[in-house]
Amino acid sequence: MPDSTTDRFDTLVAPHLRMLLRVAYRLVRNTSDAQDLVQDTCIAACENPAGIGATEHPVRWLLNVLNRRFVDRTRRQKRASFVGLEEADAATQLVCGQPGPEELLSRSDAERALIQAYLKLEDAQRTLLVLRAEGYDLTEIELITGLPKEVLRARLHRARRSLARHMDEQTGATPAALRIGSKT
Amino acid sequence: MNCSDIAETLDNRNVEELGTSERRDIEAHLAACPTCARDWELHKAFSALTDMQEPAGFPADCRALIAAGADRSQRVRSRLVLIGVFAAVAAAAAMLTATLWQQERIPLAAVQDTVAPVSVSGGAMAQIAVPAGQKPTVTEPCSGGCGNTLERTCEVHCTCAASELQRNGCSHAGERRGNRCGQQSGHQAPESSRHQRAAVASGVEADRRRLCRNLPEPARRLRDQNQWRHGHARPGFFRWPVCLRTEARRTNAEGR
Repeated sequence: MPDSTTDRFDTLVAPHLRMLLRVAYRLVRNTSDAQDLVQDTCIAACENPAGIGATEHPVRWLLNVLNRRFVDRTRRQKRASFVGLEEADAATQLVCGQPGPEELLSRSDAERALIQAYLKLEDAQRTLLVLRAEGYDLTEIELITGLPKEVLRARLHRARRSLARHMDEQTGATPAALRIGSKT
Repeated sequence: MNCSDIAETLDNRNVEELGTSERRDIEAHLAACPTCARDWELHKAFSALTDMQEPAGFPADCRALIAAGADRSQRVRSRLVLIGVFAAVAAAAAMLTATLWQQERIPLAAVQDTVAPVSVSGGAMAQIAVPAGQKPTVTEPCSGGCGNTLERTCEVHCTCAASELQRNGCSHAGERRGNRCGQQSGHQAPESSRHQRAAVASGVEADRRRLCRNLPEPARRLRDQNQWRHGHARPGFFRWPVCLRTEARRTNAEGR
């Protein structure tokens, strides 16, 4: 096992850095927040040799930590108090978790609606959809998140239903045809 | 192929893994089921939504951040080690001091040869040579007049009087009888509750008066009528007040 922190980074984390950044970006849909998430994950991995060094699957460990950091970050943002613009320091950089104008401009209307609908989902649903979009099946997601497969299946199903409903709200379509079990 | 199969495929399979026949079956079901068709479309669209532009130099930035964090944590760890060593030394010194204090009462003075002032009989002060690591020993005849010799180990700063010395080994009859006064009848006991109790046990009139000075009125009347019964006022802190209250209650009942 590598001894120093930088050695652990080079050996265990750096090969998966691009994948981590992609998953983080899928989760938060924002480049700055994604970089922060990945950096937090890297620091946790390199300063905790008993964690990533002891596991046989560093990718799962990293994704687990990334998911936890994402949930913590989202909860912290929900608890954050709002400050009026008059009271805010002019030097303070106001950071928004939503996609920036450039990111929105480069997308089509359908993609924008999909992203807006996705951002309305709960944290756990977003995590499951992202891991599934990354190609992990339920068995691997179970190992990453530690949740039972039946729970994951139900949550994934609800996530798809919620995403479709929010998409219909974005585009103005009627959600009647998307209800569970409805067949026309 | 039904809706459960589509959900199972969406949960566990990737589109690229599907064979030709499976794709044909899935497309046939999706054409007949708009719900599954919508889920399938959303899954495909969301999976394809990878428009992220990787920031330039991000791995190098991450590595520099890790290296800086490692350097900082190393400095903090070194500082913590130093603080821990100082704390351990201070705690060991405090424990050693406390242990010596418990054993010698005055640790630093008793470690060396010294001359300790010790008060002996009658409050007179005597100079006793104290060997290192030992307590001074006082030997003197019992002041009760029994002829026995008292020998006791004294503390360095002991200010005990002769009556106190006699508690530690005198075989005088007065010592065994009472409450550690050690004096014969007629002795004026000091003004302390312990000696008051001892005086009551020995039946000395003067001490009894002193004891009864603050009695309530019924009890004082009993004392004046010479009806005080010494047997009831046995030594012991919890006994004689109860006895006094009993006498007072009885007197009040008789007065009515």
